[in-house]
Amino acid sequence: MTPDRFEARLKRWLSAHPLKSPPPSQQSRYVDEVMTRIERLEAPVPARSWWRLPLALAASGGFACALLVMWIHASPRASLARIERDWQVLAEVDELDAVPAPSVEEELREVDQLMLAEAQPKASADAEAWIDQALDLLDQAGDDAVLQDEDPDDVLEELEALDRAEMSALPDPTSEGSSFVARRS
Amino acid sequence: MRAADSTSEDSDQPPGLGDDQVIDRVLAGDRDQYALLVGRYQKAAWSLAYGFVGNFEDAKELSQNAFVKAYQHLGRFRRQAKFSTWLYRIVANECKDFLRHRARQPRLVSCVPELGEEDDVIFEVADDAASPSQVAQHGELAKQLARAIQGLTGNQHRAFVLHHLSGLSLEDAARIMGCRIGTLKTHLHRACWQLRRRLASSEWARRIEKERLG
Repeated sequence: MTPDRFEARLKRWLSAHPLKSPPPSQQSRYVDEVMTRIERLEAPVPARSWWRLPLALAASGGFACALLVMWIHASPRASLARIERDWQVLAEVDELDAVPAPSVEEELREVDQLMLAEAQPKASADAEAWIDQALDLLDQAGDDAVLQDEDPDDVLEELEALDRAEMSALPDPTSEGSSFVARRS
Repeated sequence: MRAADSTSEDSDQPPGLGDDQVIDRVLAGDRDQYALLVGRYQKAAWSLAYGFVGNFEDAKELSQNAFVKAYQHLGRFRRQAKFSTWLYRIVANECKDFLRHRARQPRLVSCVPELGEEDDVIFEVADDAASPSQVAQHGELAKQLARAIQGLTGNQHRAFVLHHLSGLSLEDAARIMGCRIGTLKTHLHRACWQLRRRLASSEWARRIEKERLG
């Protein structure tokens, strides 16, 4: 079969057997469906209010500031809480029973005051009194040194005399409790 | 159903109210007048799409898409050609994109029946004088021809569908394809040569030869 003849036969066959028609049941809704789609396309889009964007920006900015403030305040609180927690842990292991926190504070305060007092220079009157007292002590020491030059027997006698004087000054042991008598015996 | 024939059949326009007048009213803001154009060319556009894709549901969707796009771009219609030609060009482009997209889909996951793979064939094979056996024979021949048409390449397929299946004139088919008439004839000649080669050893060719001899 030549090409021209084939084309002629093909055209004839196609004219005898055309394409199928669309189903009539669906043709009735065709126009309505197209117009519905067009109406949907042309439906007015709800206009956005002009104040929505600034309001959204302000709200987001406020939220960011609130987060920043919370973060700043949360850090010291966290460290205080951590210190309190450490104290509790130490108290639980009885390390703080011997040195409770208030006594430590007082003790430290006293130490501070003592250090401050020692660091301060003495007044001139106190210094003179101290010098006088030191000289008196030196004088007494000089008397003792003189006593060392005396005879030891004399010294013993003097000491015994002093003992007797002290013993006589004490109350009568018999008038005291039995425990005292026992201790003396 | 031929697209060229349906333009006159579907014409329910009032006398004297042509496409250009309806378009003027639509552009003036009377949107409902566009329903006249849709009703006038719905069958032709649907049939044209059916010739391309071989499925009524897809063809309906594609032709309706074309009507919506035509409405959206109605202001750009320069009226150098008929509204129907402009509309068919939009339909053909929709079908071209659809077929290109369908060709990229894996065949295993494709649930869309391709041309000639449906239970019923795309051609009218039953007539009042035909017996059931003749109808069955014609149906088988129609399936063979449909598969051969489906195997045509892009421009050859478009030219064959526009001119031979939809019945558009050479001039309108060339305008829709955006080429000269000589180029369209070349596509048609090559399309027929391909079909002849594919159908040479088929029952369709033997049947045609028998009918010729008879």
